[in-house]
Amino acid sequence: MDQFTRDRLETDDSLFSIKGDLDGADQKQDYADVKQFIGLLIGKEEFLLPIEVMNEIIMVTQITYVPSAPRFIEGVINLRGKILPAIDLRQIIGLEARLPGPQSRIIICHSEDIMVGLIVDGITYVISLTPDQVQNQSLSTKGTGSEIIGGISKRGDQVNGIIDIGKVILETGVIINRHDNDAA
Amino acid sequence: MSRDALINAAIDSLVKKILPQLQEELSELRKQNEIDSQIELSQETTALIKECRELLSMISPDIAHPSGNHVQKNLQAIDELSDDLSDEEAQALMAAMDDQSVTAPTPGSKQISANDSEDQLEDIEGDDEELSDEEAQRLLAEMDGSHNSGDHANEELSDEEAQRLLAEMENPSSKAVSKSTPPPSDDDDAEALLAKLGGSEEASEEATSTAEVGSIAVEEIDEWEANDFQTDPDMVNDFITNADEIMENLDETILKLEQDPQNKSIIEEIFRGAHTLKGAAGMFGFRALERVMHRLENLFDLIRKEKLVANADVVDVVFEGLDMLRTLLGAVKDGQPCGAKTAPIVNALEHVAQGKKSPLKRPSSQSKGQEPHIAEATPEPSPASNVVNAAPKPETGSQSTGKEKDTKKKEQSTIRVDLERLDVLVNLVGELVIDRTRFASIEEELRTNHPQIEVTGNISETVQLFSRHMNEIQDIIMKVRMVPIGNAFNKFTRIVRDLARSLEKKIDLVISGENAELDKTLVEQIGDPLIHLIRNSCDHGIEDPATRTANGKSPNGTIFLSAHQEGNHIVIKIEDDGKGIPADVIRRKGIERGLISEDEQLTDRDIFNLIFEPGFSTAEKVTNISGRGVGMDVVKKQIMKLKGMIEIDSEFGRGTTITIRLPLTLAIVQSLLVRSSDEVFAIPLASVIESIRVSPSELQKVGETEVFKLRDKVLPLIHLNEALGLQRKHNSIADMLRQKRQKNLIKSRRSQERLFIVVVGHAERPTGIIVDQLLNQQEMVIKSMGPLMRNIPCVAGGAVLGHGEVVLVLDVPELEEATKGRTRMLAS
Repeated sequence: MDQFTRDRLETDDSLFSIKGDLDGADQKQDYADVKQFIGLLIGKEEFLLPIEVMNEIIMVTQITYVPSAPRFIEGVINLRGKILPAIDLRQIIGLEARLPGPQSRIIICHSEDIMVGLIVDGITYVISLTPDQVQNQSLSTKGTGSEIIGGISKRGDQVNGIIDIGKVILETGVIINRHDNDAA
Repeated sequence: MSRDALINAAIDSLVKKILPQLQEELSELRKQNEIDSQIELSQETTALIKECRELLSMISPDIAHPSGNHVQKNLQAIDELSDDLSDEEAQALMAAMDDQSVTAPTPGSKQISANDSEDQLEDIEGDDEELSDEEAQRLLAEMDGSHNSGDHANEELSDEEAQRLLAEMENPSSKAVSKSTPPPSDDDDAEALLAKLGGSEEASEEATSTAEVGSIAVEEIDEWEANDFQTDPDMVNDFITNADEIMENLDETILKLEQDPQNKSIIEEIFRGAHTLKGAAGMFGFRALERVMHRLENLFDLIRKEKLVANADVVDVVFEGLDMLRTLLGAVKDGQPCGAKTAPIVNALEHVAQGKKSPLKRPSSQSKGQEPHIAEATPEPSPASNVVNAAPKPETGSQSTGKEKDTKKKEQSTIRVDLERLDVLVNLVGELVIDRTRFASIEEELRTNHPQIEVTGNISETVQLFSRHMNEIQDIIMKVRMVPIGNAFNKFTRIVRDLARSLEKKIDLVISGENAELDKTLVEQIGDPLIHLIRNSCDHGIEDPATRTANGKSPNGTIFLSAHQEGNHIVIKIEDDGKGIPADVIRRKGIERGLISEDEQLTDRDIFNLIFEPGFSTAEKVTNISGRGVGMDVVKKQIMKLKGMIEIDSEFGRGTTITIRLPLTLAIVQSLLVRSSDEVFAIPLASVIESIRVSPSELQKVGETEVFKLRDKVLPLIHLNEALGLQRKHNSIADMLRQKRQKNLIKSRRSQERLFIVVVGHAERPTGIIVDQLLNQQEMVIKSMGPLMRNIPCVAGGAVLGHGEVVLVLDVPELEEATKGRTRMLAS
């Protein structure tokens, strides 16, 4: 019981620790039309996520299982009193679900009014890309996982997929238009 | 300038006609009644005279004309009068003035208040709309008089006036033409109309010649007249809320009046409301609103003076007026004029107002059977529709509650709060409630695991105090949002009345329990389903008087609408004593539609509940009120959305009862935490009847369903883990995380020896949910889990527990439905 408490406190403390890195990276940038991306790991592969869709990054602590949830939604998490669905990016790109390791994080991000958490295997760093390093192009049907890619980045000989959060949400198969009807 | 001219005209009429008359009457009175003049003036009279004086003193400087002196003189006269008026005199004076307000084309002086001079003019116009020969003559003479006075301003005025008058006069005449064209209008009526038509035409001709103006009729008055108040959104909002309240009140009180036309206090209340609204509309420059309201007010005034009896016909027209007002108010809300034509309704109101004065003229226009919806368009009087109904039979279609609440005037000091702010407050309190449980759990942990820490006692005490205060805050904040359900009920009197009249049935609506309180959003959202159900009762339930009499029932059908609180629920009942629902017909239809199978054994209750299936209708013919088969399923969906339940029961030939249960509030819910397959779920305590512990061997099977015999009832059972499909959760991240967490803890003792059954649902037809473990009871705030998680079956939402853990809150009705659906599927 005792251990549990301490564990919990530590978790709470470290919730936002990773944010510092992001801010540090920020200072290096002074070009006008440079876009920032956050690098994340799914399995061994690195993907990029536009920083403007991102709200924060939290540790993976507790996920509540939701029966009959839309696919890829592993459950719900509590973000300071707000309940958000957590999507497992591993499963979207066709990998097995696995127990989150010490490097695993949940990226809280949004697409319009929908907020979701993305479970990733790790965060690398913040990357700045000039427009000519970004190629806005979705991948043709080349295996699972390409559906969520909204563009490709080229840095020297390194090529990474840029995740389109809207497409991720689309992958869950939930028709969001219903939301409008319900509100009316 | 033109306004000045108008004011001048008003003053003129006031000065030239009313005051002298008033004086005359008074002096006569004094002669007649040599009564002690020491008695104090009645308040009303004093106020009245004061108003006159104020008005006069305000405007008199503007009038650079001998009449100004006149005013002064009159002022003096009034002064004198007010000094030594006796009670009786005052009353007589009032009477005299009332007479004037009816007979003279100028308004009664009681109408004059500081800002009412405009009204007055409108009044002049208004009366002119329905000019009889005589009146026209008089008016013309008057105009001549002012013309002759030679004053420049007056000259202008008369021109303008004449123009306006002309316009107004031509308007009704064209209307009269259109009105007399529909063939089935009653002879008398037509004659009256023709006479009127002739009258106004003559009048307009004369006016033309006198005033030497030949311009074309101006259209109706502008709906809006721009002014500063209109552009201030706060002010307009205030106006709208106020107006809504008054309108609501008017509807209700007018119905009361129809029941009890003699009751002074009711008509006084109506009058007050009407006057306030008129004044406000005038201030904002909503001219059309003001105009209609003004006519209504006149009508109420006549009723108040007992010059008019508020019978069903009068009330019909008044309601039409109110509908028009709603349309206009709607336009105000939308922020732009709707272009509704107010003239027809003004006309109709005038007719009725004159009903007493000229008994030949019958109220000629009511439109009947209109949809009693606010959304309805301009209520054009449809003269052809019910000339028969216009006969003065004192028939009353419906009856409001018999309770004479004597217009309870409990003085409450209230404050209007923006609902949004209130919601934020409610949410914050919800968060605080969670914090409280968190504190409590920390405190408990400290107390049990660290008794050696000194501050523990202090903390315990503080936490307890905090909890107590939180409880109080929570209670209060919940009450803040509560409003009496009567707010939703009251409009039904009107609806039933209108329906009864259009269906030619006699229906009494008896409302009880309108004081039961319910969350405001619930009250708002329950309105539509209730309307639907009530319409159904009127249309399908209650038979027409002849059938009823033949069946040995009283010709008046009754619908009982009641509400009462049962624990954390509000129970709303709609009962009618109509023809009931034939279970066999429903059953046949159900089989036809493939909803049930031929050999399925269903209780009557189950059969009736088929009515809630989409597209289910038994009505042979579709009426405009109901019968299309859309509806009952919508009603059910709406009720389910409000976390409520709906049931229908009926006895063929005797009537139908529909029972709706709603939770009192949606925000904070007491819940029972249970564990099933190592997952924790919350069941809203409101739907929990009891929980019992049984051993697996006590469960029995009936067909595919497991049951448990609980006392004298057989309880159908649901395994929560099966119903939710919890076996699928293995290898999910959530499960792995939990297992990792639990490695250090003692394995949860899940004994196969014992099962727990949570008995949920309706007390008469409970269902048992089998869970592995009962945890505890807790207050929680049910939250939406976002648009992605909107349609999770059997899950109403999520809630955050003390330690930040999210639990899913089960949707009990849906859970019951789901299992029922499954058994039905298995059956077919």
